[in-house]
Amino acid sequence: MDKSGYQATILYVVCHMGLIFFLYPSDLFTAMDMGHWIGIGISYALHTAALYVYLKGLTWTAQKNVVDMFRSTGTFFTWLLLIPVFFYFGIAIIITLRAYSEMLTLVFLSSTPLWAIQLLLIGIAFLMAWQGMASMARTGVLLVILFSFPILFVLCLSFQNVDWYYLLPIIDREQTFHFLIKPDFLVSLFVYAGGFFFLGLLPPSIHISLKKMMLGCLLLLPMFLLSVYLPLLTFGQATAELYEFPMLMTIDTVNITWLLFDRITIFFLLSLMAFAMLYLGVTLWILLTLTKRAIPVIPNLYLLIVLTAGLFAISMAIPNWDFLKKLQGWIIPLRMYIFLIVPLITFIIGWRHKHKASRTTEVT
Amino acid sequence: MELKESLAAYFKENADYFHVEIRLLQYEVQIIGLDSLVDLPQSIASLQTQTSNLVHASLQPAALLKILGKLIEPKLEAIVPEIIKGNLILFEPKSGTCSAVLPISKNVTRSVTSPETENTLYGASSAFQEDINTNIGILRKHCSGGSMQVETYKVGKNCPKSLLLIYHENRVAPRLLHSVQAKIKAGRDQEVDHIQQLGNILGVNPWSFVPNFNMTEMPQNAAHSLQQGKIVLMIDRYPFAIILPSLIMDMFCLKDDYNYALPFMYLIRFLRIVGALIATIIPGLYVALVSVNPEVLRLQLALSIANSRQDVPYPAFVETLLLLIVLELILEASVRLPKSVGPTITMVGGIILGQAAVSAKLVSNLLIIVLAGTTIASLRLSDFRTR
Repeated sequence: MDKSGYQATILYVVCHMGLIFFLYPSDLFTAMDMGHWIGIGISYALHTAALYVYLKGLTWTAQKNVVDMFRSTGTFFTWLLLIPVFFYFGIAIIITLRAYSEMLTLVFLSSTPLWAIQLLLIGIAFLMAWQGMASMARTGVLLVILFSFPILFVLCLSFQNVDWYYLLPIIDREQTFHFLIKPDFLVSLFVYAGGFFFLGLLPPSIHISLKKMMLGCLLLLPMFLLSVYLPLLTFGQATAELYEFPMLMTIDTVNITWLLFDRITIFFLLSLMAFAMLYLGVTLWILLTLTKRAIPVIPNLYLLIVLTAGLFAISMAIPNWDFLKKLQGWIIPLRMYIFLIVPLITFIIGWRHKHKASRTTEVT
Repeated sequence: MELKESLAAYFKENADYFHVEIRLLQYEVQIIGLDSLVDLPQSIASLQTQTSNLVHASLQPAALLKILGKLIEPKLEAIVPEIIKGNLILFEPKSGTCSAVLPISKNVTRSVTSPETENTLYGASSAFQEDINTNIGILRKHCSGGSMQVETYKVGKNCPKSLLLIYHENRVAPRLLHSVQAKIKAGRDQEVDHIQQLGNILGVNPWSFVPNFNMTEMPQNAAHSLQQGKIVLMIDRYPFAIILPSLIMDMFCLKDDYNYALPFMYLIRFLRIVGALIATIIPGLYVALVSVNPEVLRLQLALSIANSRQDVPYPAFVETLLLLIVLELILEASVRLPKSVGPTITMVGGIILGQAAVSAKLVSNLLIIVLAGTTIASLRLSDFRTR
C-alpha cells in the first residue's frame, strides 16, 4: 500500500535507468553526427509530453486502468488498440533479453554460454512477474537504496578522461533535422517509448502522483545527456560511433589508483543490470496482465510459464546481432504507436470521461 | 463407588496424588490434591487459620466450604480438572459438599533473571520467564497507562494452554487485530507447543525463509513493539514474546538503540545494514572475482590471491562452500553445547579455521579472512533467527 506515489515514481525511474546507458548511446551516435543535444532534447520533450498526457488521461478516470478505459470504446476497438501493445512489449523483452546477454558476455562473462545468461535473466523476470506488481514496486525501492551509490560513484568518476572541446560546436551551421526520420534515430526512441505504459496497469493500491512523476522524469534528463555526452567527450564522435556499447567503453578507460579494483565497469554494469531485470520483470508483468484480461480462464501461473517459455525460445532463435538490429528496425511503427498514439488515446478517453462526468453532475 | 475410591482409582498411577483428612471446626474434611503442585502443610495451616477466626461455629458445611473456595459438584468430571490445574479439593463426606480452594502452591518457576539469548547494554535487563502471569506483570510495569489489553484464549485439545493476545488499544491497527483474533478463534483446537504450530494457527507459510514474527525475551522490546502498534502473543510456559508483524527494519533496529545519542544510533544501524549486505555479497563476490573475473581486481591483489591459492586443489567455489559449511557447523555446535564444554569447540574451531586448514593447503589464506568477515558481519543482525 503506497499512497505517497513514491513507489510508482521509483519504478518508472529505475526501469528507464536500466535501459538508457546500454543501447541508447550507440544508436544515437549512428543517427547523428553533431548537435546530439538537439536529438536528445526533442526525444525527451516528446517523452515528457507523452508521459504527461498519459498520466493526465489516467487521473481523469480516477483509478481505472488502461484496459478498462479502452474497453469503454467497445470490445472490437479494445482488441485493435491493445494487440499492437502486446506485440510491442513481447518484442521489447526479446530484444532486451538478447542484447543484454550479448553485452554481459562481451563485458565479463566471456566463457558463459548465451542461453545460460538469457535463462537467468528471464528466470528472474519470471519470478518478479509471478510475485506481482506490489512486490516489484518494493523491489524497486530496495534496488534504488542498494545501487544508487555505486552508479553515482562511477558516473562521477567517469569524467576523468573528459575533453571538453568535444562539446563544440554547440550548434553547427549545417545542422539539419534530417536525423528525425533516420531509422537509427527512431530505433533510439526505444528507451523513451515503452517504459511508462505500465503506469496505466498499476493496481489501485499503488498511487501515482503527477508531480512526483514529473520530478522523476526531470531526474532522467541528466541521465540521457550523460549517457551520450560522457562517451562523446571522452572519445569524440568519430571514435564513439564505432563502439557497440560506448558508455561501457568510457567507464573502462577510468583508472583509479586508490581503489581495490581495476575495472569499475563491472559494478556499474551489475547495478544497472539489476535495474534492467526489474524492467524485464515489469514488462513481463504487462504482458501477463494483458493476456489475463484477454483470456481470464487460465490461471496466472500457467499463462506466465507459457509466456516466459515462448519469449525465451524466440530470443534464442535470433541468429546474430545484425538480425537484432533489423528486428529493432521492423518494430519502429509499433514503437511510435506505443510512444505517441497510446498516450493520446488515453488522454482523449480520459477527457471524454471527465466531460461526461461533469455533465451528469450538471444535470443532476 | 464412592468418590474417594473413584478418585484414587483415577490417580492410581500418579505418585504425587494425596488424600488426607483434617478437622476444620467440627467437621471431618477430606483434602485432595497433587503434592507436586500444592504445598500441603502450608495450605493446611492457612485453612486452619481461616476457619479458626470464624465466630459462627454453627456454620453448615456448604456455607463453610463456600467461604474457603468455590463450590463444585462432587463428581469425578468436575473435580479432576481442578486437581490438575493445581487446586486443592475440600470434600465433606457427610453432606457431600465439595469445593475447590486456591492453595499455597509450590514454586515451580524460576525467578526473573537476565535474558540469555539477547543482550542489552543500557536497557532494563529483566527477562520473560515461564510463568505467564509474571510475564504480564513485567509487561504491565513496562507499559504503564491503561490502554494495554490482554486477551486470553485457551488453545489445544489434549493439553490446553493459554495463549495471550496483548495489544495497545489506541495504537493497534484494527484490521490486523481482527484478523489475528479471527485466526486464533478458528484455530482453537490445534495444539500450540512450539512456534511452528503457532505459525500454523496464524496461517504463516511454513516454508518461508523470512521470519514472519519476531521473538524477544526482553519485556522492554515487547513493550516498545506494543507502543509501535504491533501485537504481542505469549504462550504459557514459553519464555518469549512473539511480536507480529515483523518488518524488515526490525532486523536492524532495537529498542536499546534509543539509549545512545542520535548520531550513534544511526551509525550503529547503518553498520548493521552494511553487515547484512557484506554477509550476503562477499562470499559470492570472492568466488566471482577469483575464478571468473580476476581482471576486475588490481593487478597486485590478483597476483597475491593467485599466490595464496597456488596449492589449493579445488576450485574457489568448492573451497568457499566447504569452509562455509564448517563455519555453520561450529556456530550450530556452540549454540547447542552446554557452557562447560563450549570452549572446546571454540578452540578446535579456532585451530581448524585459523591455521591448520591453511597450512594443510586445503583452503587459501584470503578465504579465511573473507569468511571470518562474513561471519562477523552476519552476527551483527539484531535477531539470531534472521541470520
